[in-house]
Amino acid sequence: MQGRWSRVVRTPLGLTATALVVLVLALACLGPVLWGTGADAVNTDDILALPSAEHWAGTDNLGRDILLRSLVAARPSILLALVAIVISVVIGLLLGAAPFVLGRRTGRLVSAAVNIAVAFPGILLALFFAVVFGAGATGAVLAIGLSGAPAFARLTQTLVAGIAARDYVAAARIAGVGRFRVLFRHVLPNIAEPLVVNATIGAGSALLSFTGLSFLGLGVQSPSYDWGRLLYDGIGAIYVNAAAALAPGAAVLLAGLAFNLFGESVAKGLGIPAGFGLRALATTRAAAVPEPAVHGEEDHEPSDDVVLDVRDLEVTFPGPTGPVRLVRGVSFEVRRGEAVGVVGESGSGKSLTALAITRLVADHGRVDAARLDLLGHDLLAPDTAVRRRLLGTSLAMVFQDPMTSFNPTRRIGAQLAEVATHHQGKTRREAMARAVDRLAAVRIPDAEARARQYPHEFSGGMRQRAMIGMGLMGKPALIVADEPTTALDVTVQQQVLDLLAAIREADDVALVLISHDVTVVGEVCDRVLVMYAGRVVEDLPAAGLATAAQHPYTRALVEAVPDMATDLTRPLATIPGRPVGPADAPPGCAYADRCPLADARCRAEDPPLVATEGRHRVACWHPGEPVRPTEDLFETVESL
Amino acid sequence: MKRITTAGYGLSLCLAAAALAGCGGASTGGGGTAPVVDGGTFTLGVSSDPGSLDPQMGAGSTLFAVTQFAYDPLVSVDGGTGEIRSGLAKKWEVKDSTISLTLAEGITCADGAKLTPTVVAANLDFVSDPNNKSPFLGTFFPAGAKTVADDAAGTVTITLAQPAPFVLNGLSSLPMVCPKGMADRTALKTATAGTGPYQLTEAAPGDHYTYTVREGYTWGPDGATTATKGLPKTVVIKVVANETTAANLLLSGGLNAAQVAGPDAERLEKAGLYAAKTPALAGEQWYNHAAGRVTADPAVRMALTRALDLAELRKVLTSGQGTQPTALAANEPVACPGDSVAKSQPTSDPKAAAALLDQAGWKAGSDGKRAKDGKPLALTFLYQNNNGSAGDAAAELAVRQWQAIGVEATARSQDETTLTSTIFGAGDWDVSWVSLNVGSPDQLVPFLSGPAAPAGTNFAAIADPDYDKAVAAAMAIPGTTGCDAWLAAEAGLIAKADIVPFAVKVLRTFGKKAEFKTPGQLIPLSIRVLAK
Amino acid sequence: MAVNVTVTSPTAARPWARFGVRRLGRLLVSLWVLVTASFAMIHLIPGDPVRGALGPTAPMDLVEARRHALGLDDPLVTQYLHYLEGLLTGDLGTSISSQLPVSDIVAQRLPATLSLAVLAFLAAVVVAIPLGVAMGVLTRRGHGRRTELAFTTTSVVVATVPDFLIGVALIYVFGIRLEWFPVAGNETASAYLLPVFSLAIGPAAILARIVRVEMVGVLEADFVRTARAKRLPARTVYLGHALPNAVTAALTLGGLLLSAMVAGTVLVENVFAWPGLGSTIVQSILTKDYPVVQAIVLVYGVGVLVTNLVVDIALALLDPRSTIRED
Repeated sequence: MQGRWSRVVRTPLGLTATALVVLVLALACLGPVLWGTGADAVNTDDILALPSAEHWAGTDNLGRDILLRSLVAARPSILLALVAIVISVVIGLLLGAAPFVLGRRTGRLVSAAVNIAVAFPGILLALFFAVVFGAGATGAVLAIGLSGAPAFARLTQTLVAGIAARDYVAAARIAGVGRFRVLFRHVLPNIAEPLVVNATIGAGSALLSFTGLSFLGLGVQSPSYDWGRLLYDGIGAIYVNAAAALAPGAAVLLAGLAFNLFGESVAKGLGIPAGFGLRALATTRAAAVPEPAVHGEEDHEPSDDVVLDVRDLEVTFPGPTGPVRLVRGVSFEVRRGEAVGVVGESGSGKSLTALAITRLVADHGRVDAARLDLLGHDLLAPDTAVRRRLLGTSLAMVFQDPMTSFNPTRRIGAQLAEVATHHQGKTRREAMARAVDRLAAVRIPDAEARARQYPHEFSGGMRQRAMIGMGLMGKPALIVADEPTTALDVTVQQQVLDLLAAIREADDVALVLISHDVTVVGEVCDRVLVMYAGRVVEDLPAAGLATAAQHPYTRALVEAVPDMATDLTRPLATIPGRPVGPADAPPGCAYADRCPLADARCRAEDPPLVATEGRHRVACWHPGEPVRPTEDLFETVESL
Repeated sequence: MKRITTAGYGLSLCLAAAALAGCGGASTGGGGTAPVVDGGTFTLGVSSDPGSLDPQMGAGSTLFAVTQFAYDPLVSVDGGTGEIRSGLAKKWEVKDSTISLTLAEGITCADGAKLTPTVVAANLDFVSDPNNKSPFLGTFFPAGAKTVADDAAGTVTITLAQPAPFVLNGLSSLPMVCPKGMADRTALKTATAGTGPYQLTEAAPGDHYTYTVREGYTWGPDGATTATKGLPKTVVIKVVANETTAANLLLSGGLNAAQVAGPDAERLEKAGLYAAKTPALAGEQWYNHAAGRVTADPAVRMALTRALDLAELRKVLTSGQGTQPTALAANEPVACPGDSVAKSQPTSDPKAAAALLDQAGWKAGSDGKRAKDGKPLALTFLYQNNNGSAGDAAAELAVRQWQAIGVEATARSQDETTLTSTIFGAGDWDVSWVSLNVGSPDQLVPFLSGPAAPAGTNFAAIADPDYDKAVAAAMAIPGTTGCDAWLAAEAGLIAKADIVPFAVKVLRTFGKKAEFKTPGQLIPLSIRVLAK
Repeated sequence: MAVNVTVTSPTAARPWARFGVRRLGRLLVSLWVLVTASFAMIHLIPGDPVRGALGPTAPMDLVEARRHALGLDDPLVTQYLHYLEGLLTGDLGTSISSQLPVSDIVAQRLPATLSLAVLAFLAAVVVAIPLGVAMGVLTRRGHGRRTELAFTTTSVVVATVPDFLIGVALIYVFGIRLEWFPVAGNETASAYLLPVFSLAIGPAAILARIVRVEMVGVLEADFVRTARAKRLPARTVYLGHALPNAVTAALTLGGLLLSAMVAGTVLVENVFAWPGLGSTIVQSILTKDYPVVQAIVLVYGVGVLVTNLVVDIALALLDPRSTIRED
């Protein structure tokens, strides 16, 4: 809690707002004490004087100093605004919590009434109440307080509903705890924070509403005075002495701003992660990007049927303490029709690699490579229409979550057709026809009707197939699929994978399949790249996963997958420890801490990725060495 | 924004007599040498909508201003000298309770009908009939009058129930309605049927009213006609509620004339705009004489009066622009010029005031506040909100000055309707600031004597036999010869601190690209539209 | 970011009808509450509205007659029914001070307010949405933090200044000092500029902020990544894909803003002497002309309700996922 609030103050906006609020509150407390008598001094010989050295903002109808009066008026103004907002919050709380306590029928009635009241603009309600209560401070406070209540009632309702849906509330209710107790014990403490924040913003609005009412003559009446009253007097004389209105006006604005900004900073501060703020601003500028790490790679002669050629790929992102290399020195190639799988735990950099090779990394990330070619075209060259067309038609991307990957407000057919209209120069009708054709090609039944539907009307598997269909609008030479089946059921998974296989076969399309699921990759792909901590640690044929894996990590991954023969009496195999974060990459092999074969050299020197036989490459100082029997692995785990 | 209305410094019962002569009323600014524009448009700004346009059924000052254009009264009053001049009547004679008027020839209405003595008599009968509830009855036209018309001779003879010294002044404020209007009274709410120099051609209630000049109008006061050079062909009366906006419009040329009283008036002065001036009572303090109120005791009233520094109050109320009043009937054209205040008004002396209160049994307690038999000396002080911040400031000052002698007063600013409903409804008040603006002293009689509110309009419940006697004697003297008696009667009330007039302000009607006269009211035939 | 959804069956016809009926029902109930509240208003006020309005010389029987004419002598229920009946036939009563039918007054002043509110709303939308979109693109994740700070601060400050103060300042600078624009009234086309600006600037600032935040959120969305993956030109990505999704939340706010703008006219009309309902209602409150106040409150309330209905329908049309919403 402390940390979160201090984070608020650290943003420049939050700091200013807090300072302003403190200043305003101090003024409210001390103003009358310090300047009360001065503000009250009547001098009928100096009526309505213009600003001078003696009276910085001039004088009013009784010769009193306007600036001093503005300073002293802080207390009643703030008090009135606070009282008004307290009224709003209390009534809002009562109305908003009522549905929870009263039960469904009455609750619905109350919330319907609140919804109607919320629809009315505040000032109309305030005028309504001002007419009823009459002009004056009491009337105005009640008017503004009551007119602000519906908004708080609505807010409370939403918050309470949110908390009430939580499991622990349901548990309490089932346990027989009364509604009121649940309300006070569980619900209210949890909504206190957002309520207070909104109340702070509301206090600012209340202050400003008061000036509106006073401007019309319905606010505080003489001889009492607040900022609104001073404004009322000042605006009447604005063309004669503008300072008479400026002084209270500026005061109101500052106070209103202070409350609003403070509330907003708090809201923001309690919500966002600690990447944004003074510290982040300071560090990102200064850091220089380090040299790309050089790894001894063996040069491959690019052959004609190489679709994707990647050499020394690096992806760097700015971090809290400096730039971080999330993908380091990744090199591989994909041939026509080949299926390459990329496997690794979360944080291994596999998804980023996919994004990097398809040039979809976010703008604040940096992609560097010695070579990054698609069908011979350099993808690191600046973006041109030609390149966009190339990527749009020859490269297909399939993302993990098909629901969020489609635009929910546009029909599927239109989203497919876009590719054709933009990159293939087709007319809308031609493009739509092609889209329907592609939907049919990915085995979506009733493609014509489906094309006119929205994403949310498709099932998960169908959406993924539609996504694939979208990639097939052109003639892709390469499909990059990032966890395409993770969000789907197992049976549907199979359908999608079968589809991918069919496409590959039909058109000789290459595939890069990223997954954390070793089995899937093993089934679908020809080759597998194993990534750990942003590096490729092994590059081997899929067929050899179970038998010919040489890197201890690969072996551990394979072993961790249970199959029908696994002994169920023992604990399931896991890889002890946790993957290392990219910011904490050690000088040596990143896997050393978890590797049973690690020695001093491993910890000191990072092994390069070298070929051991044919196209099989490993980055390890002890490739292929037998690991201690799995029994010991279990004991190690148990002893931890 | 604040409403400093054109109703200015008085109740909507602004009983100003209109003068249709070219003279009277001071004016400043502008030059008599600017070239006039013939047949131009003159836009007059008023602060509120006149409402129903029936000239005999409303007493609001805006209605008054608007009525001047389309209707004529029987006689007119010279703004400067107070002499009676011709109106629809070219000759008149007053003998005791009988008034005979001879109408001018060839008077036509806007629709061409002739205005005959029969029509005039019908008008006067209409106002006289209490069932019609015209606010002119009893104020501009005495009750119980009988009218006889002689079409052949062209005369109208009015017989009053009792002598009324300023009856002709009253008649000069009573507009005559034409036969079409007399026949269909409801039509008069939104249209005009009169003999005046202009006629209403377009009405957008709440926004503006357009009047067009009538050619061939020759029966203005002293023979004034609409053939005069510089008279506008079209007059647009625009409702501009906000005074600052009116001032802005004057400066930018959106209005040719508007009455501006608040701080914006200084702005317009500085800009060198033409200003026609007329005085109005701005500060008049009344006490509630009704039994049971603390102010029923004359000693208390005197003490409260002497505790105040009236000169200072005046300075604050009028922002230094005002003067001491000379009589209770301050509006132009003044029927009785003279001074009833200077010698009679009690001087400011807080110590004497405190002594008076001590004598009356109001002793100061340890906290300085006075009480008698356990009842604290606390006043309910109401004042009208038509003076803006200056009024609030003056009220605050008065409260302080009373506090200095141990009297607690609660000041409340009220709009006209609330204030009048309180005081005329015998409500809860002890002291109030209400400016009763009238032109002749007899119009004040029902307010200063007679049945108390709510039965009558004597809202302060003043019951002063000396005043009643003095008034009865003055009533018997016709016209301005009785003025000295009237002023003496007033002075008596003021000397006893029964009523405290303390400020007169000059109401300025500013003009841009136009000049005019405003002795109490804007005189239509005095308007001259200028080229620049 | 996205509108909260409960997806039910996607069949078209019946859900729309249900939606329409439910919304209409809610509208009618709200209308009834509004009407009753505006009726109750007069009777909640202490004191006698008729007495004060007629002035000092009004004899008691005139006051009584006026009370009787206004029906203030009848029992409350009768007055209420009479009031409802009047509303249905278009009779909104008679103004106490001017004796004119209130419906005439309202009919005459309504166009001025309506034109002001609609123009201001359009101005706000036309300025705020492109600005918000541009800002959203400029300050998307990892970019333009300084721009974001400057923009947020400016828009908060602008939104905080009350519209009538802006109006007063504008009149002073542009009307009086520079004399570029008229200071009051709606005679000429140029007279619209200052009032529309005063009314629109605050809501525009709020709207632009919301659109920016939404845009930044939407630009993070997966489907934007897909659009980029399709190598669509940037314009298509921002305007064709991101904007429609960002606009949904902005539209909800826009509806609120329109109804708030309708109310903002009350203050702005007073500053600019605009011959609309706003200046009328304030004058009527100050002169205690209650039938007029009642009628205008009713008109404003109906306007707000209708606006919200229109916004709901527009939202339902725009965002197909929210077609059927269980409230």
